[in-house]
Amino acid sequence: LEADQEELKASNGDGVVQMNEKQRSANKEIETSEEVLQSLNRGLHALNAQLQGKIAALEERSNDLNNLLNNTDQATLFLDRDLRVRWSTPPLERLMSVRADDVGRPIGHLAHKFRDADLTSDAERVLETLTPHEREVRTDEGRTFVQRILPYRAHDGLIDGIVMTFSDVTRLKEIQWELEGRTEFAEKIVDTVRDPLVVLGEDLMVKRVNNSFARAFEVTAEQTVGCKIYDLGNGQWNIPALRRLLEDVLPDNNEFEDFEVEHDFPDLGRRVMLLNARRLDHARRILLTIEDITERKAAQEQRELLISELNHRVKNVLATLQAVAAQTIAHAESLTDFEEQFSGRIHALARGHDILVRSDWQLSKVSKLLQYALDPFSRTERISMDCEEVWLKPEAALAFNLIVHELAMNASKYGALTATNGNVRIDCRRVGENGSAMVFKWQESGGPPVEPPRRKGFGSKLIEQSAQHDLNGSAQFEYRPEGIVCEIRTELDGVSEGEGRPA
Amino acid sequence: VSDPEHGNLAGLRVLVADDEVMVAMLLEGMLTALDAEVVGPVNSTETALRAIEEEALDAATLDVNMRGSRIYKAAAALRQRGIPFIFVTGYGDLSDCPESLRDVPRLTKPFRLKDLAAALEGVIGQA
Repeated sequence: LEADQEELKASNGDGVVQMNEKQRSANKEIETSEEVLQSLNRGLHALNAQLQGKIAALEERSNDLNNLLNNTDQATLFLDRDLRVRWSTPPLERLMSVRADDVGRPIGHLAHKFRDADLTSDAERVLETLTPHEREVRTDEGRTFVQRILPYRAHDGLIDGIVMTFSDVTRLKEIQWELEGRTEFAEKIVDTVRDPLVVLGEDLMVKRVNNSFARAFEVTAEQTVGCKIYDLGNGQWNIPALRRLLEDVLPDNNEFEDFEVEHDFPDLGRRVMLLNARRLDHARRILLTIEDITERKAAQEQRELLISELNHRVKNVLATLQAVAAQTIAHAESLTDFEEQFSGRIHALARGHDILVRSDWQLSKVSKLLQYALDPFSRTERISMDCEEVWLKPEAALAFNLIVHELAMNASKYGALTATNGNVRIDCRRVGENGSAMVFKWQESGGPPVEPPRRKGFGSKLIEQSAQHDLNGSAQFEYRPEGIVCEIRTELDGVSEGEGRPA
Repeated sequence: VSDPEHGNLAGLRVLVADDEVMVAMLLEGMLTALDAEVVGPVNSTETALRAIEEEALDAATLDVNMRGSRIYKAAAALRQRGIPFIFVTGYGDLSDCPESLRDVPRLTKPFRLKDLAAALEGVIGQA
């Protein structure tokens, strides 16, 4: 028993000891678990705090984004993959009937103000092709928007719908329209200007030329644009005067006006150009007109010459009239005689002028001159003519006309043309080498008997002086009893081929 | 030679240069009426220069415009020889006249006998 007791004791004792030990180890485990729990708890707290922080940051970002979208005044619409409204920015409400409770509605169901937009098919195309789409759309009120559609990419790169934005570009369009109008205006002015006009950049490169410029300088717009002005037409505009104007004068002045440049152009010859230029500071351009005034200047000089010549002639004509009157009166037998001779000579002078006008101050035919000069006289059927064709210069033609008039007047007053069977024979032929001179012979017969005059009359003096001075020749009179013979010799001196107007 | 009966031109040899035959004859007639002796008339600068070279002259009337050219060369030759002369011209003013010839008296066409006489007497008196 004792042994049993002992054994029991012992076993009891053992058991207790064992139990105590177990108890202790269990306690230890619990302690450990608590520590783990505590540390887990701490970890969770930390995690929670981190999460809170991230949420706050996210909210902040979300606020930023909302504010940004509201502030930009850009109408934005987010659609999911089925093209249902996900959300939109407030400015969109002015263009489309979309509200917060429209989330989830298909875009096709929403009314909008766009006149020519097909939002659904545009959106479908972007979803299909995944390429952004952009175009202009107009509202019923006449405003213009740029519609942009982009695929909506989620963070994992997957396409999760689309973003549609509308930017108001109405003002921009207006400015663009106005700008186009002004450009058109400016371009049409350039084209309308009849003087050659070239538009240069600040670097003196040609930006544009008008049609007159192309015509005047035989270039095309393509050949000139982008060239430096000095290089145009093989460098024919590389003129010191133009260089000075463009590089020295224009930078210091806004313009130069009516600047005359005379220059020998390789293709055009010697020309006088009138240059006008304006510097456009805002547009940074130079407008340059180049007017060829060569002809105008020549015409002006010609006009001045003609006017002074006319002045001179008028005075000379008056002096001539005075001379004719003085000489005629000195030799007249009576007032009737004076009147007849004076008006005959005035008419002869006038006819001479007609001849010059008719021949345009060029050459006149002797046969024609004879015809005109003899026309005022009667009994011209008694005049026979045998004339070679000879041409006379204006001064010679005038003198010849007067000579024939004097001869005919004398014949019808005193000579062969006073008698019914009187005759005048006219011979006119070229003589000398190459026919360089003309002999004109006036032969009267059948008139009253002729005696040599006691003193030289005005007529014969006029004939002699005219032949000498204006015909570069001579006059010879022969007073045969049957009639006067007058022989005029004149050096033609290239007259038959020569041309030109008297100065 | 001065003859109060016929003015101061009597017996003077006067060169007439004018390319208008009628005017030249008028000048010739007028000068003859003034008892002057006419040399010429000549009708170009060249013939005028030859006459100045070859003839003994007391005075000259020169038409400024001779066949489109000016007579100024002949005028200079006369001046060089100290021969008095006048210009006869249709022009009111002679804008292209050389400075040295600006003071030459001008007889404007048309003119009267007494205008011609006065103009010539004026230059002869100076000479």
